[in-house]
Amino acid sequence: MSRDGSSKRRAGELAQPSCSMVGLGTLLLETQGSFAVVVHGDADCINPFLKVFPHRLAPDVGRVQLASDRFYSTGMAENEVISGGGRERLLACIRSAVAQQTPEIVFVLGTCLSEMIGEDIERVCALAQAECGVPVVPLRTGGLRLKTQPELLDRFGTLLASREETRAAASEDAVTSAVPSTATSAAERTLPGSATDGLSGGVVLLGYPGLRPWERDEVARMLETAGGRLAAELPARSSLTAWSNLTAAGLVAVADPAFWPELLSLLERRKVPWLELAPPMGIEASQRFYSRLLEHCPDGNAARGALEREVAAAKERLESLGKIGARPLKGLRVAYCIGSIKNYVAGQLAREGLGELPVFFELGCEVEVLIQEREDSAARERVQKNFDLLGVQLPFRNFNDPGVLGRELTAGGYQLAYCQDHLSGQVRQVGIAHVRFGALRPGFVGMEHNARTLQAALSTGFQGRYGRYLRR
Amino acid sequence: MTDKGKDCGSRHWSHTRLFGVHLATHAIPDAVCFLHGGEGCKTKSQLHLVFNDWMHESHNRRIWTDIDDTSLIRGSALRLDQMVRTWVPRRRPAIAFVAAATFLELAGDDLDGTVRRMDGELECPVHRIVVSAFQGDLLDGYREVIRACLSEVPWERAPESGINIVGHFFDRYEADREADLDELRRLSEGISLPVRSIFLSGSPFERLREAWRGAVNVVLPDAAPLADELARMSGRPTVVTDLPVGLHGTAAWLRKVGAAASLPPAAIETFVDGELGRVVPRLNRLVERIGEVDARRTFALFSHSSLAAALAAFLADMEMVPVLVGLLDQGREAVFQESLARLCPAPIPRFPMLAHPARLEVKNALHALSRAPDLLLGSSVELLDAAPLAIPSLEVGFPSFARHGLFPMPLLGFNGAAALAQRILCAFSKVH
Repeated sequence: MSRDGSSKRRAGELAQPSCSMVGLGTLLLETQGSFAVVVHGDADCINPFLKVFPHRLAPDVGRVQLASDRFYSTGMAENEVISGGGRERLLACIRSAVAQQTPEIVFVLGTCLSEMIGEDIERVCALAQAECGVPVVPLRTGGLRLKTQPELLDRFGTLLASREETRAAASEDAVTSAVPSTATSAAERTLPGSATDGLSGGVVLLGYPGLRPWERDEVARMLETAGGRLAAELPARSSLTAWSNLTAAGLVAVADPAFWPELLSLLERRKVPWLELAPPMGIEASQRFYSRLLEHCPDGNAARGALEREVAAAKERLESLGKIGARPLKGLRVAYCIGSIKNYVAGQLAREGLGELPVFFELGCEVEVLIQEREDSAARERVQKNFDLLGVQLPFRNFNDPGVLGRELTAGGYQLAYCQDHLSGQVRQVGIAHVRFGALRPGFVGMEHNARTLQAALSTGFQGRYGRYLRR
Repeated sequence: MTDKGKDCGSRHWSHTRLFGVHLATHAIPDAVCFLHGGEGCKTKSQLHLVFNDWMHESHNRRIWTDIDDTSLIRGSALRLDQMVRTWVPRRRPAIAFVAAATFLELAGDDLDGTVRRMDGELECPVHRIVVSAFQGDLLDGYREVIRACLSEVPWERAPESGINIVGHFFDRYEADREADLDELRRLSEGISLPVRSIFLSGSPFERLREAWRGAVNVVLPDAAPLADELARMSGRPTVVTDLPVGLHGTAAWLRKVGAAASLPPAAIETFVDGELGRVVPRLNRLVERIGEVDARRTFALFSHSSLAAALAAFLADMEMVPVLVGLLDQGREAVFQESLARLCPAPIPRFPMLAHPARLEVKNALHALSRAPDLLLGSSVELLDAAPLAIPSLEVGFPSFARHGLFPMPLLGFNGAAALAQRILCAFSKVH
């Protein structure tokens, strides 16, 4: 187990505040498995989860199945709020969800409304659990007490990784067992209470960007060469089974330990080894990542040669890109924008969203960081403190309002902005190239993609060729 | 399944008035909306706008007060007052709307008084719109924004000519919706009635205020509850119509609008006749190839009531048979039935109807059909849920997450009928 200086940070200080109901619900929406979610509030509160398509149409993203049809809403009526009838409604809603979905577990999310009226969700869930024979987990959530995105991810991971305890408690409470076992439940019940020997439980990647198939192939290939195995990516490929199996992992590689204090404590209690490994963004970072990972594999030394060959091949591919007539990236002025991310993608939020900086450094770009944040001295000090803890030595600008990003981009004389999709209008306004935050990819195979992506935005791709027509 | 259990399933249209206000604000490019709510309320609304409209960002015109427990205890109206007074000068909108999340409506702060006190002190009108989630749906919220805009029109000025169209559901700045606006204007001009304003249409607020020029108000079904008030407010003839969809529906719309404007019927019939002469031969090529009298094509349809009635009537006109209709909005079953009866050119066989169904109900109803329908029309949600049935499908109405308008293809009017026929042909042929 290892913690370096960055874990002294309080993760999420440079990110957006969050409603815990939306945060936990969103993470459940992206999780596979046999469960139902009941939102206890007004009818509107189910709307964050009526997402039926992933936002992007990219082929690797299109495979994601969103679980929106497993979400239920009590949709409390006014008289129920006033007269306390919400409890009956919640109980009926849980019964309905159990009858329709036959879930292994039900999560009940509180809302601002249920918090405001002091609804005793725990009591109702206990009643429902005893009646239905499945764990019904009350989650005190809502928007009135703001949380950071990392806090919610940590809470979510800890909740699902310790689910066996919840299940055991439920089975003791159950009056009758109305829910049949499913195919996955047997495997989940066999979870050991402590780590397995060596790497037999495989390597779990925690908090990294979700790997595309070819990136996953690279990680799997490197591990297999050293006698290891990629067991899971969390929370990027979230499922109840994968979270349950986390405590049986042979090794957990963690992108940003400051992100997961509760979850790492759980792993430590269960004696699961974990290791901080900065995300493999860029060739050098990938080499460090694999090198340290291989140290923990049974045949790590035997795989050194393979790693060296991967490094050499990646460098060669990168150099060959200069021959296709693309615009050089060395000296490119890049605005790296953080603080606007509203999602719960741990791979993007890790290290305050600065995890992809090494890609730009390696390509010789001149980077400045633009942070959606208040512009007063206290806010600037907070930014500087986080930069110091992360070892980031870069100039930065704070901008308070997403509507003025364009002004800041002009003032900085940037040629390319790396920022969230929803800020692209501001980028187009000033007529510079835009690369979507999260478009840069990990690993050796990712670095070639990264260089191509930047060059495409500047010159060789559609947006590079027709950029002047995209200005508004 | 108990009634209460039924109520709990997620619905295709779980959107409340709150989202309707957001959607309507999105349709007025120089308006802003203050959402007085919690942090999570952003996601409820913004998410759907982003997925539905690829062409026009809206987040900079939504301003959230982000109420937490401290500001709730102190009195959230104070925070609202500060936010509106700070952000109106910063964003400089032409009109602003204030909508509070349900839990803040219940908290009992004097939100009305707060907004009223700003009246006249800010550079733009500020309208408070009550959007409790306890009743109504997004169409109600959308209509309340239209009502607020209509109240800002200087109706005392003498009308010139032409018509205002009130109640158009404009949800995105994409080529399909813009084609609808072009078609409405083309139809009206075809009977010599210029369109002065369309509530709502992506037009700036000042353009909407030009509605005083219009001599007649044409109210589309989703805004029908406003008709009497509008007639009183404007002092102009005001007529409620069905949607101009399909051959029969569009012809009926033109006749009703023409009559309200006191146009000679012969002039309208000449235009209608010319349009039918242009479009019918093309549609006939589809009709004669997709079925026969004793072996007709069937369809299932899910949409909000006004559009569902118009589409069902058009498809029936194309010799197709409804086997299931789901109305996604709330409490407008009678509106649907009455509109369908007016719009259908011939008797239509009875069919099962679902009112504001849960997603599971839709799935179950589709699976329960003895034969899968030949064509499925619906929003993104029903199409996704029905994907395993592999029914040829058209995405219509709201939300439209998968289909986006890159090229003008209207739904309304005679051109919309031809475009729909084209889409039906592509769906049946499975070639796009």
